[in-house]
Amino acid sequence: MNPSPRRHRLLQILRRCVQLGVVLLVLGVVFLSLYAHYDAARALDDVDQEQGWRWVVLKGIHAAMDRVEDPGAFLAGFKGTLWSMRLAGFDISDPLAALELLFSARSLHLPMLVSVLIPAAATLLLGKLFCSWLCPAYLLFELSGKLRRLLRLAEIRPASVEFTRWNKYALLAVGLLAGAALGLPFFSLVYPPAVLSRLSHAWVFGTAMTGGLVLMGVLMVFELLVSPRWWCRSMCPGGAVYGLLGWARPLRVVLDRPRCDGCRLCSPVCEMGLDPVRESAGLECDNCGRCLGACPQGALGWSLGLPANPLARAPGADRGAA
Amino acid sequence: MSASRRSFLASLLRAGGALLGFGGLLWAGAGLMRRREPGYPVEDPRRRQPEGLAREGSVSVDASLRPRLIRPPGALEEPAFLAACIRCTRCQDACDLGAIQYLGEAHGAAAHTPIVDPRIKACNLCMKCTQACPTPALTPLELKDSDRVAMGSVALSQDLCLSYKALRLRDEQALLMELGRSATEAEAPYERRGPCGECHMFCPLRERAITLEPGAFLAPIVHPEACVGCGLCEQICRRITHDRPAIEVVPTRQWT
Repeated sequence: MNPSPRRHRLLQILRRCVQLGVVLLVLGVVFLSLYAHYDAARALDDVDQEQGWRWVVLKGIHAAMDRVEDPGAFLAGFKGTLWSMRLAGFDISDPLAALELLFSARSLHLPMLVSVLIPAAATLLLGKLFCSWLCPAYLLFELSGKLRRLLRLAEIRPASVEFTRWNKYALLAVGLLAGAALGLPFFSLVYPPAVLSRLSHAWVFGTAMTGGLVLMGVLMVFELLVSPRWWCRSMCPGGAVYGLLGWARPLRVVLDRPRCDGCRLCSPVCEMGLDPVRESAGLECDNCGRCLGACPQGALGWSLGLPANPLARAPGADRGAA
Repeated sequence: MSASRRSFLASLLRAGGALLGFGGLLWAGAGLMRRREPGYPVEDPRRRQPEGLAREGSVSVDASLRPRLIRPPGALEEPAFLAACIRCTRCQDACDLGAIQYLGEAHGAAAHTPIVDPRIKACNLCMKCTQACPTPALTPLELKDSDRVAMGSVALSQDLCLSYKALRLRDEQALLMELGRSATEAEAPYERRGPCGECHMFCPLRERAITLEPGAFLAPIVHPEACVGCGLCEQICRRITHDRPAIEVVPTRQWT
């Protein structure tokens, strides 16, 4: 039996909490912006009179603002969405946004470069942690994957077409070059975390959102019926950027070779569709940690340290499979 | 309880959870699709197109339903702006006034890019959006840089302007008196006959973009070369004339 399945299960619960926390954070930042607008419009004087779900949240913020020393400065510190956000006074942007800006606007914009420092440094050290721990689209697509199990329970067998994982690097290259040629930040319009966070903004502010909803709906239905986790596994240009940035990450999943009995129970739980026995060191692993809990032998674990060659196949992988 | 049975129950439970989650998602999606009255600030400026807007005599606004292409302060020229804006919503968040709107998805490549529509809310040149923009799309400006803004210029229709109407009324009355007839025969074409001058009062570049004609019922004279196109004059004029404005922003950039 697994010597410490509980620890790994707790890690997954923690991951789910962090994912939900990010969703709440994005919504919270949008609500703080809305609150700032209402405050500037002197619309909060009769806050107790107001009805509706937006006002429930706004009343909560209003009550909390009494305890903030300088509400104006506090509110100015929270603006934007996951694509580019001002969070507690720090500017944080998606590295894909900076890369895309580099191509579409053909300019090195210093504030943009500064704002990707934190996520880029975190990815260099911890790998594609954004994908598995923070990205709201990943959470949504995980839900879509869970739903496939439901379909199977109803005796419907959804198709499981597999696409090559190199698609995402091709999409990244094509998108960047097309953006440069057309002068349009293409990924801003279709990158699911950007679309989702803009949707949350549109939801709260009451602006146009049909296109985004349709895009996310189509992606979810495609993943449900045709190809499981299609976007994250084979298409996501952001995942490609994070994967390349996390090429030499010190934090990675490693296999304790002698303990592995080749049962391959770790493979079906992998969100990225990898075989953790062979591929946990590669570009694609996003350090979600699900395979750790799936191993009955406890052979998979975390490692902190630089590998000799991140792309090399682990020696003896075939023996483990035998 | 056998192991297989337990695992079946567990999967049933998980499936139930997933069903609940997905059902909730569908419910939320359906709720979002049939949206009720949008909150403030509003969705697509085209929705708030004032109904029954009298077009004759009004300057510059084209007959289509598209809003004028008035970008926030410090915006790059048009193709470069579309390339540099990453549609992150930070300028709208920074605009405490609620003057920044986003173009709807029907605008294709320009979808989700910011505009200012004085029909909804004019800009007060606070420049917070320019400082919030993480990209080169909006050049950072300070409060004192208001004359570096180039959102548009201004055009005035003397036919519609209340002050000029008052002026014409005075001349007409003087003519009637000269002819020995009653001054009350001159009928003001609008319920408000007095002079106005509000555009001059509201102009952040007062005495540069809008001056007053001396001794003439606060009749404004516009100087398009000095105007930056914030739209505050149009906003107040719309309020006063019930959406038949005499003064309107003429955008520096046009739809292509």
